This record gives sequence, structure tokens and C-alpha cells, in this order.
Amino acid sequence: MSGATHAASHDDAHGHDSHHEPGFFRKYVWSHDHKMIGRQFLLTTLFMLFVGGALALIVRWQLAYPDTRIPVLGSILEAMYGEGKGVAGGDVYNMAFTMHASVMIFLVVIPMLIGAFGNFCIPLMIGARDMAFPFLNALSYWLMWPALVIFSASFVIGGGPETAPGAGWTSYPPLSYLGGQGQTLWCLGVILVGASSVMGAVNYITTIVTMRAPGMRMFRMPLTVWAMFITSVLSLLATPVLSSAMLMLTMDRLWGSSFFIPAGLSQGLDVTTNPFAFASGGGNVVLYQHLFWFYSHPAVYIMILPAMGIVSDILATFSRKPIFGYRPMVYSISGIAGLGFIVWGHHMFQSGMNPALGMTFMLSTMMIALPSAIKTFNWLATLWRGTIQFTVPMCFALAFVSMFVIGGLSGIFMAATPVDAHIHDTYFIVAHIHYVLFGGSLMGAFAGIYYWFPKMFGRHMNYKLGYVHFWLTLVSFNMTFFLMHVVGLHGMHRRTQNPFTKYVYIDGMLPLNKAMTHGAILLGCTQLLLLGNVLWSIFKGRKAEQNPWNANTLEWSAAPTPTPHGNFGPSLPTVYRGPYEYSSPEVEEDWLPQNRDLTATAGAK
Amino acid sequence: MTPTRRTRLSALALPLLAALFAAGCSGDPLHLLPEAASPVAREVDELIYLIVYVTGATLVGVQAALVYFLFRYRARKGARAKYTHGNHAVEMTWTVLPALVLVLLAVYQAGMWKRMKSAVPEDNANAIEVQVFAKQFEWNFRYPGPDGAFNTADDRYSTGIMVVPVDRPVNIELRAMDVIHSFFLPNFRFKQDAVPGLHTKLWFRADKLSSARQPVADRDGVEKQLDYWDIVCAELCGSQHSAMSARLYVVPDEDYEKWVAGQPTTLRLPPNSLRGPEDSTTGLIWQRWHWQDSREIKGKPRRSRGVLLFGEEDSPDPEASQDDEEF
Repeated sequence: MSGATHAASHDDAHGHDSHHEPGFFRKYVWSHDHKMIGRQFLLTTLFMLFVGGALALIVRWQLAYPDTRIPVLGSILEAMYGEGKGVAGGDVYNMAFTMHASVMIFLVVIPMLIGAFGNFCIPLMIGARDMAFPFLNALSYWLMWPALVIFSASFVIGGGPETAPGAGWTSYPPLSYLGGQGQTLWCLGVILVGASSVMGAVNYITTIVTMRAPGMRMFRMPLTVWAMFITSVLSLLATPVLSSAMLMLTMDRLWGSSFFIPAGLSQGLDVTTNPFAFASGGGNVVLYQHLFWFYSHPAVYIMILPAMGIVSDILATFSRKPIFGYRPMVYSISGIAGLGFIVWGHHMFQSGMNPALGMTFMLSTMMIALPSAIKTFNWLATLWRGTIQFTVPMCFALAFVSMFVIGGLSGIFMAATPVDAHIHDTYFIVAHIHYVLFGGSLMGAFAGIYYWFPKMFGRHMNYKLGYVHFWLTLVSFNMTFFLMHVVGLHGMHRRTQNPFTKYVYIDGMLPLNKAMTHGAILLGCTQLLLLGNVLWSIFKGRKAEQNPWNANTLEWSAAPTPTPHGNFGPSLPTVYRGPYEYSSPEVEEDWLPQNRDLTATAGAK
Repeated sequence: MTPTRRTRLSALALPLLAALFAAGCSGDPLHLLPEAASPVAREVDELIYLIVYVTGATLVGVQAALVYFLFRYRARKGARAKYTHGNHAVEMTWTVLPALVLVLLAVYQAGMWKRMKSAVPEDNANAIEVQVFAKQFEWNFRYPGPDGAFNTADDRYSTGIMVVPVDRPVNIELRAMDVIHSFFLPNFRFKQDAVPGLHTKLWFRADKLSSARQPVADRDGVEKQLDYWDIVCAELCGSQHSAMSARLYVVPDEDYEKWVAGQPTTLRLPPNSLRGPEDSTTGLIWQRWHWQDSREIKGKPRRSRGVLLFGEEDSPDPEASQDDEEF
């Protein structure tokens, strides 16, 4: 009901559009328009991708050429920390991998998939004129900026790498309790990003539930929208738990509140001068891990489900075939989300909690592989007997399927508790997470960028460059991360800046580490092609038609390019069918848009 | 043959083949793992290989299907895609079959997990007891001494070196004294976090002398003969985390007894680590405990906490720890 009123008031406003064309700032910066906010999220996160990537290369360089000065990036480190810090010694190294993960997770993958594509696609795909709460939407973007500033400040606040956050993105106390001031800023940054996520989630859920166009039943929504919907529910329920954990950690650090600090640890402090010496302990270190993973495991699904949705849409569009098993797809998204809340303990098999509890988590973890398997089989069946068009977005979507299978299967090793005892905290885990979050989430995001760019910016990207970007990414990605399985099984543990000198059995893995680093450098440089392509195409790309892919969903079939404020002209589209009616026998062409009224066309003829 | 039946058959065949394959092999035929030095490690290796074969077969199957479909169903002039929304029987097949495989895997490994992690080993009568104290950035070990009890004057200590007898279970009580560490024995496929505030019980039994370790190749491919198994800290514990190693010597019974008897009854410690009056519950020192993170060590105290921690203390030197001490 409220959706309808909202739409009506928009219609009125729309009629007067020509009278008040917004100024530059209103239009591009302080915009409440979901499309502009989506673009803002996309460009910001694309930039942050390079910050995160540079941090990863610091880590990789150290592992291939231990204790030598890092080319190029070393000068940045020296500018930040002073002479001699261009080498990733203990503190610089710990800072680098901590911030690499934090930036990639909190400032790249989550805001790119959910902030950029969620914002841009949801109203267009369900036939709404904007989000339910446009101001809240803008606020969720602008909360990213204080987080970004705070994260940046955490690098340099104490003047050296030793005060930067260096306890890993998991920031387990007591190590994080001991860290420098940067650690406090890190906690605050995570709280802000969390607030931003929750605002987005509330908005998406309300919009999807109340503002769908006439005829857009829940089971006629594209899978991208379904994925965003379920993801938002996950995000809404899980993020507050992370924020609480961060707040508790901050309070422990600043005021000695003893949530996570066990007895005995503050007794080294001098009572006469240090107020913290009165913190009596009694806190529980494992409690933090429970709280942290209660969010952070669902967070993995928050990062992969939207990509799964995007990939489903793209696979159907370019196979010219309905998605195979639409309802099983929806149910498996929901199944992943539901099970996602009861598997967090698999990060803690070796933490000292009761092994019997570990067995329970092992079973739920094994089971969560099932909906992922169902989705993979459905994707394959969607390709089966299709007419596959190898466009750039399709290539990335196919890479998603292929890489996600590897990431999913390696998860079974970890789910098996006795095997986890060996591979936990080794490079096997690093390989797994990157196959899921880069091979999965980022490949999906790249597919989404190439797919929706014509709608977002009214121009095509350069697809020749796109194919080069695709092949180089695929090859260098596997060169970097596949080898990590090998060194991980051989027992090379992670988060170590120079394990080669102390451990002879790891020393033999140095050549493999060099190969990985070369892959990583190629992978990082390759992404410059994407950035260049995006920036160039925004201004110089070939002008896009309304529906270049002949897609069925409303953003292509009903919304003009470039899309005006209010999205759909004077009246909202009416939806007559599901989103995947490709190659339908009802029409001659191989696509049948959701909003095409077949009875009306027949009448006109 | 209908596509449905074909799918069903191949889905059945893959795990079966994998299981057959796994049954036929033992040890580490693909050289994926470090040398195994305990019965549990060899059991875990079998499980690893079972999963390698099951997931490997699935991986090859799925990727092959993907590539085949891409080639076979690429867009061609005049071709039209098959208009289908799915098939219930097929969905049921690829839901139930993987579910069965996963449940079987889960059940198969449950017993192994229990044997690995239960506090009491199968043959406890013959076991030795060791307490392990992890701190930044070294491993300390305490043996009960001749009276067989901890917290007595004849307790024996060691830093950076752990010695255990071959073919006898070792009962460990694991503690951390500052931040979280993780007691990782790659050759035993074994890992347990050392968490401040928890007294975690674990056990292992070595059945291979450390002097019989196979040579390990270094970065230049030169084989080196080591006479110890590695003890690794696998949980990030600060700036010197990657140097927090120790050595595990597995020796014949009599050598073990001789070694323990020769160990000091107090802990020889680097400056500014474990000092002061003995605590009655840990046998080690909490009173004058100091965070020995290198960020203070490097002479750049943090604004408040660092100064207060180290204000009146001599500056400790991480190089002074004796972890390279020869056995």
C-alpha cells in the first residue's frame, strides 16, 4: 500500500522535473537516487579494490623475496613509516594482511555486490521508482566515508607500523587487546561499515516486500533480487552481533571492561600508575570468537549469494534459456542462509571448545555444501541445450561457476574435522577463501559490471579489452591461488612473514611461493585494465541502446537508457510472467520480456 | 538413454569409483603431505585421500561437463535453445545423492575425530604427562619429574625443546600465557589452539623416531637431514609469530628418561619473561608477567600501555631467547 502511494507521489514530482533540474552536487554527490548511489558505491569500491590489492602484493612480495625491499610499494611504505620500512618486517607484514582482508571484505566485496548492484538493480528489476527510504540509502553510502577515513587513519595514527592494526581481520583478543591505537580505529571502522550494511538491508527488505510493480509476484522476481533479499535478511540479523563484539572489544581496550580478558593477564601492570591494572580479568577469549564468527560466517554468504544471483541472471540471458529449476534455486539460496547461521563453529574446531560440539558443527557444515551443489547442477543444466553466447559478462559468469566449484569442494576438506586439524590456519584455508571470494564473489561482480554497465552509464564498455581482462584474470588467478592448496597441505601456515628461516620443511616451498607471487602481480596489474576500461567507457564508450542483451528483466525491457529519475516514464510497468522466458514457443524471437502484454499485441495486429 | 538416466548413472558412478580408488591406495601416493609420524596421522591421511578422490572426481566431472556444454551448445545460426524450466526427478537426484555422500563422509570421520580429540588416549596406563605453556614467542614445557606430580619441587622444565618417548601416548595440558597460540605438529596432522584462560587437554602418540625422519628438501632442492619433528605456532601471535618454533624429539624410552632427569628444575628464561615468586596453580609466574610483544621491544612504547608495562624494566631482547639451543 505504502509502495503505491510512494509511486503516485513520484509520478507527480516527475511531471515537474524540467522545472528543477538538480545542480551538480545535488545530482552527483548528495543524490538520493538509487542509481546514482549505486554508481557511487561502484566507483568507490573499484578504487578500494586497488588499495586492497596493493596490500596483498606487499604480503606476496615478502613471501617470495623475504626481507628485501618491495619495489614501488616500498616507497609508499617508507613515506608512511620512514626509512627502512620498505621491507615487510613483522609489523608491516601483519598490518598488510590485516588491512588487505579488512579492506577487501568491508570496503570492496560487500559494498560492491550489495551497495552497488543491490542499489542499482533492485528498484529497476522489481519495477519501483526508487528505494523505500531514499535518504537512508544515501546515508548508508555516506557512512562508508567515515569508515574509509578511519581505516586510512589507522595505518598511520601512531606513526609506525607497530601501532597499525595487525591482529588479522579476525582480530582475536588478547592480541587485538594489546595492539596499538590503530586497532581501536579499526574496531570503530568496522562498526560504521556494519551500520551502513544494516541501513542498506532494512531498505532492501522494505523495498522488495512493499514496492514491487503490479504483477511482480515474489516468484516472478529475478534471482538477483531474490539473492539480495535473502542476503539483506542475513545481514540484518548477523551484523549487529559483529558490531556488539567490536564495541565490547573497544571497551576492553579503552576502559578495561574485561569482556574478553581472562584473569591473570593484567597482573603484569603496575597498579600505582596504570588504571588498567584494576581490570580483574574473568573475561572469555573464546566468547569473542563465537560472536565474531556468528557474523563472519554468514558474512561469507552475504558476499557470495548476491554474486550467485547475478550469475544466474547472466547465465540464463546468454544461454537464451530459462534458468533450470527456478524454485530449487530460490530454496537453495534460503537454505544456505538458514544453515549459514549454524555453521560458525567450524572456524573454531581447534579453539578448545568441546570436541563434541565440533562434531555437531561438522554435520551442519557438510550439509551446507548441499544447496551450493544444487545451485551448481542447476547452472550446468541451464547451459545444457542452450544457445550460449560468449559475451564478456557471460565469460565471467562461467568463470564464477568453474572457480566456485573448486572453492566449494575444498570446503569439504575443512568440514571434515580430523582433516581440519591439519589444514586449519594453513595456506589451504587461504586458497579456499580466495576461490570463494575472488573466484566467486569478484568474478560475479566483474560479470555484473560488464553486464549492467550499459544501463548504469548509458554506454558500452570496450569488449575486446574485456576479453583480455577475462583471460589474464582467469589464468593469473589460478596461478596465484591453486598452488596455495599445495603448500597448505604440506603444512605451510598462514600469517607468517618469513617462515622459511625457522622451518626447513617450509623452505622447500619458496619456489612455489615465488610462482604465486608472480601470478599475484600479474593478477593485480590485470585489474588496471578493468579500471581503465570503466573510466574510459563512462566518457567515450559506444552509446548503448535500451536493451543491448535482449534480456527479459524490467531494467532492460522497461527502463529507458539513460534511465531518468523515477526510472519508468509516466506509468509503472505491469509484469505478466517470470524473468526467464527465453526461447519461449509463444513468440518468434528468443526472448519474452516480463512486461510484454501478449494479448495487447495480438489485439493490435 | 535419456539425459535423466545418464545423469543419475554418472552421479552414482563417480563416488563409487572414488571409494574404490581410495581403498587401493595407502600412505601418500601423490606426495601431498609432510611425512606422517603417528598412527593418527596415517588415519587422517587416509581420510584426506578419500576426500581428495571424491572431490577430485566431482571436480573433473563438473568441469568436463561445463566445458563440453560450452562447446556443444555454443550459439549457432538458426539454433534455438530448449525451452524448459527444470525437471523434478533430476532435482531430486542431485539433491539426494550428494546429501548421502556428505552424510556418509560425516559419519565416517566422526569416530576418528573422537579418538583424536578425546582427553584420554586408548592406552593411558603407559602415558607420560607434559604441560605446555605458550608465550610470545616461545614454547615452554614442564615435566612432572620423578614424583609424577606437577607443582612440586622436582618438576623439570624445558624451553624450545620437547622430548617424548616413542610409542607411548603423551598427555598434554596446553595453556597460553599471553595471547592465543596454536600448537601445530604438521607431521602428526595435529593442531590445538592454546587459549589464555583455558586448560586444553590433548594427546598424541609418536611411532617414529625423529632421528629416522626422511630428508627434507630446502629452497635449492638440497636435501637436509633433520633429527626432530617441527612444532609450529599456527595462530597469529604478534610480530615474531613466524619465528615461534620449537623442536620435538621422539627418542627411545631410556633416552627420554635420561633427558628428563637432566633437565633443570627451574625454568631458564630470557630476561623479563617469567620471573618472581612461583604461582601455586601454574607453577609459573603471573605476578611479574610482561607482555613481550616486539612492538614495545623495539623501543617505541605505545602512548599509555607500553610505557606502563615497561617503564621500569630493562629492555628485553627477543634474540636472547634460547630456542636455537642444541639438544
